[in-house]
Amino acid sequence: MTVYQAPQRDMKFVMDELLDMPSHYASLPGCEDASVEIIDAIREEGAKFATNVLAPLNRTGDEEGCSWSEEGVKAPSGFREAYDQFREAGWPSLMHDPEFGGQGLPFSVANMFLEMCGTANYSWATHTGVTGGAIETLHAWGTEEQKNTYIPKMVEGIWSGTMCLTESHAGTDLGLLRTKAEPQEDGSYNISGTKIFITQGEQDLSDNIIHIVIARIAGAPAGTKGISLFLVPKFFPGANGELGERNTVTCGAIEHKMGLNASPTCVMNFDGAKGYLIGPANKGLQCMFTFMNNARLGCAGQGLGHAEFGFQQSLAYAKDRLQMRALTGPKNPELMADPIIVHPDVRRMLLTQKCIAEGGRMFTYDIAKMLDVVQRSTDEEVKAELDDALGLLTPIAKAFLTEQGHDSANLAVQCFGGHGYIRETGVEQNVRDARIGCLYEGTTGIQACQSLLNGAGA
Amino acid sequence: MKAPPVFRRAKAFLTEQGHDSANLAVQCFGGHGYIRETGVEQNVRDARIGCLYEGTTGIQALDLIGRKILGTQGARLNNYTKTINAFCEANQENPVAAGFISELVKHTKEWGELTMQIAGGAMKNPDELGAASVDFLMYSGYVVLAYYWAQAAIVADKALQAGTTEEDFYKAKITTAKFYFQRLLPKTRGHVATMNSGAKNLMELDADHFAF
Repeated sequence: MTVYQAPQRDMKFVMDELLDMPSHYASLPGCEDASVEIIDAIREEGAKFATNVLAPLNRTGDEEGCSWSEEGVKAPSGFREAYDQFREAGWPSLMHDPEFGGQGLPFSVANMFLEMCGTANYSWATHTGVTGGAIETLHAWGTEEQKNTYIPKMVEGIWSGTMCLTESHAGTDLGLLRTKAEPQEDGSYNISGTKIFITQGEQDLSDNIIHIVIARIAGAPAGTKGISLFLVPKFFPGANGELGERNTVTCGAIEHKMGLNASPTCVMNFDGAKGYLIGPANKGLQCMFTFMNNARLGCAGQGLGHAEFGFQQSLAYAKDRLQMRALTGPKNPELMADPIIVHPDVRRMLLTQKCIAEGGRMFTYDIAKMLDVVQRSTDEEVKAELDDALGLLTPIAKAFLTEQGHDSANLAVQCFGGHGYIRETGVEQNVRDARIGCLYEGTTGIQACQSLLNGAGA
Repeated sequence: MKAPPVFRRAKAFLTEQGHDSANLAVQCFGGHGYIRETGVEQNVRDARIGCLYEGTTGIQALDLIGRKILGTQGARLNNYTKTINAFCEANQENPVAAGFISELVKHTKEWGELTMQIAGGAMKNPDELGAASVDFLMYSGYVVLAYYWAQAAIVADKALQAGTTEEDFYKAKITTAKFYFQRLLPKTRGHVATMNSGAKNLMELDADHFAF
C-alpha cells in the first residue's frame, strides 16, 4: 500500500519564501488577487484531492491498465469518477483565460497543483497535461470562432484535447511526416494519415476530444517548412452545445508499454477526417513551439514527482525496516535489529532523492514563475530577457530532472532491497512510470543539443 | 572454492552497469524503447533484480571493503594490484597501450591509498566504512574493467601484427578500449571526490528531519 502526502511545507517554502511569489503575483497584470490565502487554499484542497482521490488509483490503474475495443478506449476503474470530481470542483479551469470560462490564475499556481496530481498518479494526470497544451495552442493561434466554439468546453473539462505529432517513421524528425491535408471547397481540409504515440488519443473520461494535428497540405514544401496545424474534433459541435456527427478519426490500437499503463497511448487513424487550419499554412511547427516548451516543463515536473514519490515510500520503509545493527553499535538495543536508516549508504540514497525532489521543485517552480511573466507582463524588455533564459533552462530542466528523477526512483527501489522488486510496494511502478520522461518530448540527447544551441545564442 | 574478491566486486559492479546499459539500449530506441514489443524495456526490468538479490549492491560493497579488503589488512588487494602492476611493467613500451598503462598505474596506486584512508577513518568512526563503501566498490569496478580493456587492446594488437583476416574485429577492440579509458574510467573522479567527503554529510541529518 503506497501513500502520498503532498509536501506542503516544502511547497510553501519554495513559493512564499524562496521565490517570493506573493510579490510576484502582486506585480503581475491580472494576478493581483492571487494572495497567500488563496494560494494556500488551492494547495490544501489540491493536496486532499491528490492524496484521497488520485493516489489510491495509482497501483490499481497500473495493474488494470486501459482497454481497447472497436467502440473506444476504457480507462481503468475509478478514473472516470476521479475525473468527474476534478471537473466538478473546477480544477480544469485554474489557469485559463476568464474570457473563455477560466479562473485566470497564473501558470505557476496550476503548476503547483499539477505537481501534486502527477506525483500521486502520473497516468491519470497526463489527460490534464495534453488538454492544457491543446487549449494553449488554440488560444494562441485559433480564429475567434474556433476559440469560442471549443475552448470553453475544454476549460470546463467536458471536452478534452490531444497533440498529434508523431508518425511511425517521424519522431524527432517531424519534417519526414506524411499525413496529408487536402483542401475542400468549404475551406476545411480532409486529413489522412496515421499518428502514433498519441497520449489520451481516445478515452472515456470526457465527452469529446479535440485533436490538434500536424499535417502537410497537398503541394506544400517537403521538410519542416511544409507543416501546418489542424484542429480535428472527434465529434463535430452540434446545435445548442450538443454533440454533432462523428468525424472519421478513430483509435486503431493502444500500445503495451513499460509503464504509465493507465494512460492510453494511441495509434490514431485519420481517414479523410475533416479538419480546420489553425494559424498560418506551413507554419505549424512554429505554432507548436509554445506548447512544446510548456510540455517540457511538465516533463521536468514529472522527474521531480517520481523523485518525491519514491522518496516518501523509501523514507517510511527505511525507518520501519529492522535489519542488522548500525556499524557504530546498536541504536535500538531493545529490538531485534536497527532500522536501516542508521546505515550511511541508505542515508546516501535517501538524501540523494531528497535533493532531487526538493531541488527539482525549486527549479521547476522558478521556470513556472518566469513563464508567468512571459505570458502576462507588459514590459517587452523583461519578457524578451526571460524568454531567452527559458530557452536555455527549459531543456536543462527537462533532461536533467527526468534523468535524475529516474535515478532517484531506482534508489527508492534499492532502499527497499528485494521487496522493491515486488509490484505491491509501488516503487518499481514508479521507476517504470519515470522511464518515459527521458524519452518523450525530445529525448535527453535531443534536449542536450537544444540546450547547447540555445546557450550559444542560436 | 571461495571466489576471489575481484569476483565479489564483479557481482555488484556488473549488475549496476548492466542495468545502466540496458537503460541505454532503451534510450537508443527513443519512445519505441518504451513499447513492450521491442524487448528492450523488459531487459531493463529483468536486469533490475540483479542489483537486489544475493545481497544488494550496498551489502556487497560493505562486504568488499569490510571483510575482503580491510579484513585481510589489504593483503588481497595488494596481491591483485601487484598482478596489474606486473602487467603494466611488461607492456609499458607497447605503443598501442600508450595512455592505458599510465592510467592503470595511477589508479592502482590511488586504489591502495584510498583503502588506507578508509581504514584510517573507520578506526575512528565505523560509519566512515559504510559511507565510502559503494563509491569504493564502483571505483574498484572501473579499475578492474580498465585492466581488462588494456589487456584486450594488447591482445588485439598482437593479432593485427601477426596478420589476420578479421582486421576490423581487432581494430574495433582497440577503438573501444580507447573509448573506455577516455569516457568511462574518468567516472572514478566523481567516486573519489564523494569518498573523500566523509561520513558526516550522511549522518548529520536527524532521522526525523528528512521530511516535514
